Amino acid sequence: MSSASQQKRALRPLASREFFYRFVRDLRAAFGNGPPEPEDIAQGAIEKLLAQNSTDHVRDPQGYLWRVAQNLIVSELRSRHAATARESNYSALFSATDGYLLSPERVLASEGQLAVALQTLEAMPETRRRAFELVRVDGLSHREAAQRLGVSRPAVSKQVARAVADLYAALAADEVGTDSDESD
Amino acid sequence: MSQTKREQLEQAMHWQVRMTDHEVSAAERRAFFSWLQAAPEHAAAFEHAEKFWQGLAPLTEHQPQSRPAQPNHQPRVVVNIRGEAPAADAVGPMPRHPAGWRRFAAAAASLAALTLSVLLLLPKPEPGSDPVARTRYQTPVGQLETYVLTDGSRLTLGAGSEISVALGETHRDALLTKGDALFEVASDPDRPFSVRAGATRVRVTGTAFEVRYSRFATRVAVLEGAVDVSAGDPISGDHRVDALQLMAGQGTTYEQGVLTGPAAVDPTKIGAWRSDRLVFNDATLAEVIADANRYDPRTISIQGEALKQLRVTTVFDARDVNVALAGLQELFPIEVEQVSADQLLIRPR
Repeated sequence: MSSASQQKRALRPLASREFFYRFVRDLRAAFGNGPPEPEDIAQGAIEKLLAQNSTDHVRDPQGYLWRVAQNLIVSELRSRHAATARESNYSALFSATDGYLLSPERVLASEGQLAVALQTLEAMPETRRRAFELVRVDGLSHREAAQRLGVSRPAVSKQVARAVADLYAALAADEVGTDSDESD
Repeated sequence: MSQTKREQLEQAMHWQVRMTDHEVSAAERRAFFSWLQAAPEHAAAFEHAEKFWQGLAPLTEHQPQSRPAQPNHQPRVVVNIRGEAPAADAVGPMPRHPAGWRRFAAAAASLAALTLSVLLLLPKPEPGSDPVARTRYQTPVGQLETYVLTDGSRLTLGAGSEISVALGETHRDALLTKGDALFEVASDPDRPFSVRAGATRVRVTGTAFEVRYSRFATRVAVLEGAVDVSAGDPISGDHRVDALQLMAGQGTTYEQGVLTGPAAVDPTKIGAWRSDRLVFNDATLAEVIADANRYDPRTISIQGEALKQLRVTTVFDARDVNVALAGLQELFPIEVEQVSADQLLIRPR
């Protein structure tokens, strides 16, 4: 028995009816009745989980499901809003970058951007940089990172979010500079 | 980027980082979703933050200082739901009650998810049968219709309901995706007629019965003849799970994953919705209000999970939902607040 198929088997309880309805109930308790409706979200998230070829998520299938569910909800709310905005001729707000400074899909695509990000990390206060690395790079939970760093769990969450905002600001500033330098 | 937009992005980054943690409390999820729904721009801000977070992945290969990999080290799961940007017309104006998974899938989900959901929703063709065109019937809020199908069966569709029907050589089937339907099935032992609603399936050869479907419960009641009802696994579509037979004057309810019954049903109440009389016997308030919403142009919602689960036995005239709500206020510790011209909120008193 390969370990991949063992891992697939470990996911099977997630496909049960009982699990489905429990997840729907939890979603409804957290999110309300939608739209999008909790049944649709739960079904989409479970299908997504079962369709995964990679089994990285086996460590934390519940957390994975919630993240998929959240993103489905976000995506649905966002496309509704985008549709409404288009109808009301606010299309300028919804250009390729949605009015944001960065186009996040290719945020670290170039060596230059990567260098900016690494410099920004180096320049951060020690706790902030370490919190970001433990969570984003090493994949620790915030509680685990907090134990490592000897700070509270909320402090880790806050520092990681600050680190992300710092990186965004630095990369956006770099983007603006580059755009004005190059004609392309 | 405006000041507001920047503040929203920073809030979004806070929530994105929190919600990507392995340990998130139920209270945090509630707080997150209420932030998400507090302003229409928040979803876009969150999505931007999520993409930025994913975009930082190259940093995992360029660590500032190399550190030995930890034994419990697992790469973070990349969660990218939007397969492709939806075509503009796929997003169009949404109906007041979105029509479920397929519309949603078109807007948001990946192809893999979509394939599976089609399997779930469309009845599997019987072996040896040809694919048959499905005819779709839909009634507006507050209005019901009767249709005569090409096999001679009569279908009465309740207000704000949706069904698709396929009449094949070897079998006939109908898929009720919303609301109430009453079937008077023309007898044809060679072509069984099946009706699916959510996880419930009813199979007959010739009989009269109703199916009432909301996302809270499915109810089946038989006027004439006999039907087999089964409840399947919503994930696999496997229908061996539960099955029971209903005779005339019997009904069953499928709720929270459980099929109960058969129970005796007053035959005069079967299909009572055809004369705008809505009958509820031990239903949740959520189900009652979901039905009322199919008759009333206003949107009625319920505050709080406890209230939604309140068990209600009542009969009301769907043409006057106000009277029904007044009656519920008499019977239960609830009050109805007019939030706006087209929105009502039921909350604890």
